[in-house]
Amino acid sequence: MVKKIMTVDDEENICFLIKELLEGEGYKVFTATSGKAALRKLKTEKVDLVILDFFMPDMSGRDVAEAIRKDKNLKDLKIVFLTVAQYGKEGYQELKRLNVLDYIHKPFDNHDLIARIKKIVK
Amino acid sequence: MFNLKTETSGALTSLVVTADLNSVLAVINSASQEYKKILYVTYSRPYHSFGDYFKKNRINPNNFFFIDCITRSAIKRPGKVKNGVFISGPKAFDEIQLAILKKLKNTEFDVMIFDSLSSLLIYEKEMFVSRFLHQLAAMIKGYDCKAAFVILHKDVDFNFVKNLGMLTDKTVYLI
Repeated sequence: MVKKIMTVDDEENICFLIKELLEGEGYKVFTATSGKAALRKLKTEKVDLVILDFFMPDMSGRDVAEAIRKDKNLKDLKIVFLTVAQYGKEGYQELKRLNVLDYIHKPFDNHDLIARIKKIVK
Repeated sequence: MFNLKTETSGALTSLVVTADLNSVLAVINSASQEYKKILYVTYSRPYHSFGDYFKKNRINPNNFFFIDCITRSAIKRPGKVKNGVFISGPKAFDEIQLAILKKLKNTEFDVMIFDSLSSLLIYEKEMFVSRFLHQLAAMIKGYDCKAAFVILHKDVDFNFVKNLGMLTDKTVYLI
């Protein structure tokens, strides 16, 4: 069965790039350019993984992750952060609390991104 | 009594969540007692308003260097002062970063106090403030200087504080 991934980033070109990369690997990829849009889509599309940008205008990646963990239908969803942020000590604790499986720094290496996503979505 | 050094021990960058503007004074008082070289970035009070407060509380102004981001938006030429610079406007973010960087390169500061992220929210949206904090926190990590980013609790929602907290080593509540 084809694994489904949602990538959420306010930069459309990043969404497009990730979609291209991961669809080339056989995944079905949905995109959303805001946290709110992502949460709306997640109500109708069941996905295996969400890739979240941290800095977004309406809701940050952390806000979206928090909302996912609070939703009884989504709480076990796999989450990866894609971010330019260098977190502080507290940031890493928060990633752990939200059960974020990995964080990939922007700008990312395409092969590295694919390898890390593949490892998570087996 | 609030002790900045103790509260932020083990952290290079801290988010200091205060109840109101008066609580920020506790941060200033504490810093003046615990540190000798303080870089103070102000968005909340103009440089000249510190004079009386320092006098009244017997705080040595020479321990402080001010980067004043607001005075020049009200007074065109505030004049030169020996322990401060005036940024051309509160939205001149490159200039602010450059001024901080210059001071950090030339002087060994013990701590930088950023007063405050809530005041910065007057001029920019939350995402920008997060990014700016991130840039400053990353910048300061290259120097042996601690940073305390003040935010007023009543001006922001809890989620925003949590988001900002992820970008620092520690969140300290002075409420």
